[in-house]
Amino acid sequence: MNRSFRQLLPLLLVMGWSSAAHAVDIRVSAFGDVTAGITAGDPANAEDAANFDKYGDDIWPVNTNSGVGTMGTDFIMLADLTNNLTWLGEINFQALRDSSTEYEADVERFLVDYRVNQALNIQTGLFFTPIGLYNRFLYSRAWLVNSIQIPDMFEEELNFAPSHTSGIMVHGGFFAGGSNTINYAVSVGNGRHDVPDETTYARDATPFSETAGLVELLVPGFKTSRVGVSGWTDTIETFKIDDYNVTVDVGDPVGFEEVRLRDVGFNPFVSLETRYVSLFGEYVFSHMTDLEGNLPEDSYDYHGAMAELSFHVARRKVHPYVRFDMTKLPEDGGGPFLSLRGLGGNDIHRVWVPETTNLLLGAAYDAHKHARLKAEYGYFMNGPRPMHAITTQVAYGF
Amino acid sequence: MASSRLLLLGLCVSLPVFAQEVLPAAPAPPPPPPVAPPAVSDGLVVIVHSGVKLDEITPAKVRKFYLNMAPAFPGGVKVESVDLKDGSGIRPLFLEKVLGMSAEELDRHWIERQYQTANAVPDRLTSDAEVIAWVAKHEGGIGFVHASAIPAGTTQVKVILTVEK
Repeated sequence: MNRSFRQLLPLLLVMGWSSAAHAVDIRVSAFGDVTAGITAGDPANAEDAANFDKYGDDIWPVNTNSGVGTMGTDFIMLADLTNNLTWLGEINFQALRDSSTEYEADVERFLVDYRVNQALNIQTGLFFTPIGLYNRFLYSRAWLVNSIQIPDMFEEELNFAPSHTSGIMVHGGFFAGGSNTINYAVSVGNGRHDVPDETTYARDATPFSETAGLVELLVPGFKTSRVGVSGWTDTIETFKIDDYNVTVDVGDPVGFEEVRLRDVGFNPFVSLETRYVSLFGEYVFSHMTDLEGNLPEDSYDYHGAMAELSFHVARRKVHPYVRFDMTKLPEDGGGPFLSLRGLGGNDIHRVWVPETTNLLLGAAYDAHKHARLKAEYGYFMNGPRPMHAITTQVAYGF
Repeated sequence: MASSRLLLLGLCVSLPVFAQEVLPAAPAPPPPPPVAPPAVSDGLVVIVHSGVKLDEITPAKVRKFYLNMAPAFPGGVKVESVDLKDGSGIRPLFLEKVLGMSAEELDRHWIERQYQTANAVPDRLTSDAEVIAWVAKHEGGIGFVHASAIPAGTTQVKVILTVEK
């Protein structure tokens, strides 16, 4: 969702003007963090490190915490235009999560939501694709989670699974006995762009090509536990680049082949919450089928999983945890779509994208209702990252 | 038996005389001490809009509605919670006995909730009267006030839980 601040400025001015003109109260909340880390040891996988050195898109894989980084601040603005109509805008100002010192402004969400009743709400605009739990509620909101490392499986710069959708979503909830609720969401929208890292406003050549859906059971307890399944289908239109480190000008009608991929994804999740223990787990599977028949394989599969067990002690102010993450990519390096990067204009480049397997141990401390301090040790078992990482974070939310 | 009756009669007659003779003159009687309110008025009541299809429920169920974990009352009316400011006196009791969480945890809950659902963080009003008026005005309103604050014969709100101190 990268947009330069210059592009966003008119939007912000319009937002400010419209709110003043109609005297609608705007609610503002924000989340942000400052993260510092060091890495040590040999690469978890020497061959991966060599491939990443040669064909990677940066000196470190995304979200390698080395040195001090201001990851950014998310500003969420909400306005109740009527009792049933709510406008929401979420903009993230952040340092690029790579070696550059450039800052960027991302539009995370920009939508209006109309509530007919509890069972039927209609939302339109740019929203988080209704899949999983992490993608909808937790990504980049460090204050809401215990652990520090952003999981690759939902990293929007890698875009292994669709993170955002521009379109329309219908969602709601039904009573399911007791105080339990069954929630659902169905969305139709523009699918992913021709490269994973340029899904700006999820605008692709085939509008309304993506559908996504979710069903989850919510069980209130000390907090709300959830178990659900979600998935998506999309047709991705992109270009064939056979080799790594090759750039193709897709504006030139000669010298490249078009590729069409049918992407079908499945994303079950569970979050069990008790007063003293929480368990969170999520799995993503994506199956991309070659519709043109011009790729080396008929289909390409992606797997991602994460699980976190946390405890809540010292009057629930301290949260020690252990977390496991893994991603398994198509081919060696990401396959025909996940390995593509946009270079601006018509240029598309192919890079080698690493897999990850890591174990995280750490603790989060609620120092204040608006501040959470964290310390984390990471042990990386696969990929080009150094085997050991120690990371600290101050996360805030209000 | 007869002697004991005579003794009792003698005491009753002689004691006032003795008192008059020995004690100084009694001052004007002090005003009666304030009548201790019934124990329940030290506590709180959880109230909802009178149209909500609920009778008395347990603290655990109130918690689910108040925290919007169950986002609608039976019948589908959206739950709209209202809070009292910290100095209200009964907020700590509500946090402890009904919500089972600290004030910080409640604040965190509302920030998280607003992010996930786009629902507004509950207003924090300053008095019982404001809360009663607010709940009466909102079809899915739920709030808490001092038990003694409910006007007799009120029909706009109803009590679904009483919590004694």
